[in-house]
Amino acid sequence: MKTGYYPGCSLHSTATEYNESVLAVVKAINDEVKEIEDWNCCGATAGHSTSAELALGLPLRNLMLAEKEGFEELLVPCAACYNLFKTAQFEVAHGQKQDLVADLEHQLGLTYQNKINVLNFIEYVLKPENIEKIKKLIKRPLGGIKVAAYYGCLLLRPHNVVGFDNPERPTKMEKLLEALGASPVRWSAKNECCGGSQALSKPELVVRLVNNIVTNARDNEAELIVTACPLCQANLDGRQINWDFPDQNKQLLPVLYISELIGYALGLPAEKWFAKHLVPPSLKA
Amino acid sequence: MAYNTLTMEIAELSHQPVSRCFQCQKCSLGCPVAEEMDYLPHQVVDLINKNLTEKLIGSNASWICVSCKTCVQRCPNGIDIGAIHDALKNIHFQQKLPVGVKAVADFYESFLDTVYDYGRAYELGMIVKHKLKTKNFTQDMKMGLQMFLKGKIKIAPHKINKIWEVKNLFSSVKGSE
Ligand code: SF4
Ligand code: SF4
Repeated sequence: MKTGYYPGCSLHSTATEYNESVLAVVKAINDEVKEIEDWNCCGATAGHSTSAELALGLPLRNLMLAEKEGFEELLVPCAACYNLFKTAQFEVAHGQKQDLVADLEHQLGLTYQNKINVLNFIEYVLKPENIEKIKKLIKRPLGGIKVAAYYGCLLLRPHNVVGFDNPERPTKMEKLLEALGASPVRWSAKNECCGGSQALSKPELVVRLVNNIVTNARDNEAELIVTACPLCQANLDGRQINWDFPDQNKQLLPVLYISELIGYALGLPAEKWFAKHLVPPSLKA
Repeated sequence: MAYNTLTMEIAELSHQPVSRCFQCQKCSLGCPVAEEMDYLPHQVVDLINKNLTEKLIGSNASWICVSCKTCVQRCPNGIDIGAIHDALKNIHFQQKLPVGVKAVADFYESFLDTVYDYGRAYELGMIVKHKLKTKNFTQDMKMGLQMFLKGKIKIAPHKINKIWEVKNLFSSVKGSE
């Protein structure tokens, strides 16, 4: 299986520890992914808020480039990019904006098949062959540490487009955590929105949403939060140390990427990743 | 009923089955930011059905919406109010209508400017532009500074090779250059 890799802009800047830990886990299980050549930004919230052409065109150029390189599946660890790629595939499959698709086909010189299997990182890890390898390679079992698995919005909704896990009661990350020896906590904010798309434009709103999520995790005795979204991570991690976070006297909760936790369990050197966090992870690297 | 142009444009851009709405308000109950909106999600749908969409010009609702898609997930009729808000924002930009929350519109612009220039988002360039536009330099300074010190913010942008392929996609937004 030829697997392409789309890091997206966040994994090359604010979320380098996500990028590095994902690639380290891929390597540790002896798999290979190849970055799409000359990929562009998926447009994120700004793209679909501004124009329907950008909303489809920006992700679609990447999907077309991936097809051109002959990838059958595409690993997209950023939940926001993943969501927009799935949305683009959905729109093409439903015959929307055919002119735009034809224009891009012409420009890139190909006939687009819309067939690549787009995977988020959790899906990738839970592929039977991958999770079996991971279980065998565990060197530092997580010793029952209590973890709140945070899904947010973009991995789950709308379910008819992303089709990844149960949108109201997702459990896939919990399964993965159990395989690593952690104890996932039961909590109710796992699919609540953190407001990441408004992080820079409406911070007061974001503070309220983040406070609700972190408090709920802590009330349910979580020792840390894991996520698979760079916007959620930056938001949940960064807001806790910010001056306007209302809850700053209470104990802060580290927010790790799921790939960092897997890498840690596999015994990979995690210091460099952990050093990037604003709330320092409590695990001994 | 003859629908006005704005109502038709929203319908065309958003493709939502709004006529199925029976005002159960599940969308508004689940919306995480409803309390900050001047028109709640179910009210937006109602305004469309009643052809009173001119009330949505300059409303803050579209700009507050965080695109979390909780509404469409829970709506018994599959109505995606996030998509309606995207359509409304698209129309506001296209027709240069007064926007409901300027900081949000400015942020989208600063973000897309860097994508237009480089093909990829460039956080530092975007933050500087955004701060200059909003003139709010103290907001989030502590978090921003810490992220910078942790090496989370790239100093130099990366420009993709075939930048014209991305610029072409902007022709509907910027006109062809
Ligand atoms: S949930 Fe759907 S049917 Fe109910 S009020 Fe909202 S849009 Fe209308
Ligand atoms: S997508 Fe927008 S309108 Fe719908 S629930 Fe989320 S914030 Fe509210």
